[in-house]
Amino acid sequence: MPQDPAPVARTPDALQRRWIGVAVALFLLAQLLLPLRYYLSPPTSDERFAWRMFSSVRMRDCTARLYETIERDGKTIEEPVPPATLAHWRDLLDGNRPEVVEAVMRSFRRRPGVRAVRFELKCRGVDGRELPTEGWVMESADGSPRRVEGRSP
Amino acid sequence: MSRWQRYLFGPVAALRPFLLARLFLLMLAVDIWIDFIPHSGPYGVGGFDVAHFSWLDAIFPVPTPALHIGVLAAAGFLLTVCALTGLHRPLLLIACLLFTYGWAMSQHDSYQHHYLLSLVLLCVAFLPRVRAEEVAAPPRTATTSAWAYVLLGTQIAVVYLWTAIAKMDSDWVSGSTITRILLGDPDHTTTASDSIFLWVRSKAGLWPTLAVATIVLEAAMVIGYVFAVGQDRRGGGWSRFACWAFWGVAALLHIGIILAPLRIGIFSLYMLLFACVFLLPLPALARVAAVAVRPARRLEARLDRVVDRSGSRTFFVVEALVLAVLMEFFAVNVDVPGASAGLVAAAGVLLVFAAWEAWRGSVAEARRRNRGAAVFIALSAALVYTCDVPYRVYASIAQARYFVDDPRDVLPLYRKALSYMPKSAPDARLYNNMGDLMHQMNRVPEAIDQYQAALRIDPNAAYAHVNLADALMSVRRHDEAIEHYTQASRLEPQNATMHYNLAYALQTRGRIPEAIEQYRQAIRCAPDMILAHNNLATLLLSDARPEEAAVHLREVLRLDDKSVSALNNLAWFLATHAGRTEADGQQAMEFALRAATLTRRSDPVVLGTLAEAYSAAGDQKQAVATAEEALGLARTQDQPRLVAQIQKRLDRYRGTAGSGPFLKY
Repeated sequence: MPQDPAPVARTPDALQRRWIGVAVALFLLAQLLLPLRYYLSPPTSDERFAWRMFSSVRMRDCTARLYETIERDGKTIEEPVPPATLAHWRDLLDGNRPEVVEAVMRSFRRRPGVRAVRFELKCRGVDGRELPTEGWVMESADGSPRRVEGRSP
Repeated sequence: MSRWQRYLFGPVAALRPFLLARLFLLMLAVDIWIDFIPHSGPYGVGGFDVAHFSWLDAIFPVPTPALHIGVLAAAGFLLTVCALTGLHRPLLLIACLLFTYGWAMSQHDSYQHHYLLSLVLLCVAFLPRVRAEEVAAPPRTATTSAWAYVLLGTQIAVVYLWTAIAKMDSDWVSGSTITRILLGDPDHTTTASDSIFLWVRSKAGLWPTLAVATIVLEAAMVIGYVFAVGQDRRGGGWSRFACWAFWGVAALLHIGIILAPLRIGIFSLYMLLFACVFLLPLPALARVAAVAVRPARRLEARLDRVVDRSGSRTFFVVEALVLAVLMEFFAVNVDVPGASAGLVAAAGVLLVFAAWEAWRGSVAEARRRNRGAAVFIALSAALVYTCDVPYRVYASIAQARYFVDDPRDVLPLYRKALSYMPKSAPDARLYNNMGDLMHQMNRVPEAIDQYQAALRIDPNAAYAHVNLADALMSVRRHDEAIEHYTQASRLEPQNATMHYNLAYALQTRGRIPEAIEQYRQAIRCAPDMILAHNNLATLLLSDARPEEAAVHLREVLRLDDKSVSALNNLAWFLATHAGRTEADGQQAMEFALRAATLTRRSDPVVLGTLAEAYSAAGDQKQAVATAEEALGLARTQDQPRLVAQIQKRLDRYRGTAGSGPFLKY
């Protein structure tokens, strides 16, 4: 503990102290409240800005697959998208990051000849239990994905 | 002053913000070069991106590796200069903006702690500027008012608070999550087999205790940080003891995470730095800090001496020009996409600010910044090449584009990566992937060379053996291919594909018994492998073992009821085997009819089988009609051997001699 403190920088004056005090309080309040966005919104696997380090949601063992509906020889068929072509988004697709899933589905839906895109997610919980398969379909390139049963329609 | 203002503006040992700013900025600058920049590969792949904030997508929809690297390199440059020459708020705010854009531009960077680093950087920008000489002399007790320091301590407490709250779910409290983190997932553990965790694995009751203890420790850190920011105004005694205890908790928590080993970069080192700066009692911190303060003091003194001798603006201008040339030279020679532009732009910004300072009379300050930038060039050059940054960047870009882009565009990236590959740690996968690209481009001899290079680095790389064998098969060097398929299947005996590939190669060379054995091995490894069942059935049929073949054909149909070859071959077997019954004939007819429907009655082989099935079921009239239809198609498709076979069968249905089987391969 200093015997005779020798200040290096001056203390702000009263007016500055007031404004800085208010700004810091507001900043901290925002930081305190920001994670509530995650807890108060519908269940999601998007844990950004919620300080959920190593959560059970993140630790699930998931495998995402993408299927595209195309026309071939006059028939409408659904084909799986080779997983390798999704390699650069793999972690976030397996982690079911909604914005990424939607953007990837949209990019495939916009390909020539593709009528619809289906996203399927199979997960096992941290205890190894198999969780219900989740699925989304995007029929229009401008629309949002629609939640469906995980199995092929 | 109110209580809140006393908390915020009360005296803090000047050593704390000094160490926090200098060490944090240096650590972040190093982190940028060795961890952020080498992960730029996936940016822009596939022609779209998802930023952390949608409005960023609107500003720059598809960031590229060059943009990501350029932005971060510029931030790293400004951070280093501030770490070496003292805090400069505008430069730090620019660096904070660049760094934040660096991680926020894409969700490819999804580490939550990068957001925390931005908050820390913002706080550091508002720390009081403390020079090394002000804290150099023992007992280093000079104080300062530092609201940004207090804010940062409280911010860290908020983070601990939420991390503790987030763990209060049943999965964490039961110990399931922590077990999975430490033992269960190969992505998150690397050396579990030879670490203490193997021993701990057997102690089932330990995991819930460890999980709850983690929550308690994190909750303790909330109190610790809120308490410790004011420790310098409280004096020794119990306050010092409490701070030691909090520091011990932080060390336990974060050294534990480092040992774990989790894939979170150097995050725990940042947290340990914060723990030391905020929680250690001042006497202890002063002793530790002597190591960091002494070189900083020496650097400052050296810069000051030079400035004292020649404090004129002319010298500033000369130095600035030399710096510009040096920076240009460094930027051009750092062969990392985007780095050159980023560094030159950042150096330009620095020179503008330095010129502004010089013009306002602070020539010494301005010259100090120039010198700091020169030190940055030396430090960064050393860091970039000792940490193989160009190699890691090009390897990352090449690997990200490998599956998506045209091989002709990806090949130069692999060549670049290989040209920088450290000889001490060669990567067989790079050679292997380059071989794949050349194989895709039909440059088979070059592909073979690359696979062989991969195998020279790692003779046990099963994937390289398989790929080399595939390439050898494509140039009809079957025996060499079989040798490599054999090695691959020995290296990965539980991998069905390895056995399947070997079986297929053996089948091609007519080594049927060995091929049958390998197909059986493949099926043992993967009972649902349709191709293995189908090919095995075909071999068994040609080896006159139809009963065994029928078992596998039925398995194929169980897995894929639209397999035309399985339907056809099973129908043929049921219609022709020695002990067939009327029910076999009926079933043969059903299978053959399904095959005919699936092929739209356009395949003469399938129609030939259908004719035989009608005959076996006793419907000779339909048999004749279908055989005539098959005959017509075979003639149209110019298949003379098939025509002869169907003709013989047709004669038999009409009461004359028979012919060979209609098997579909």
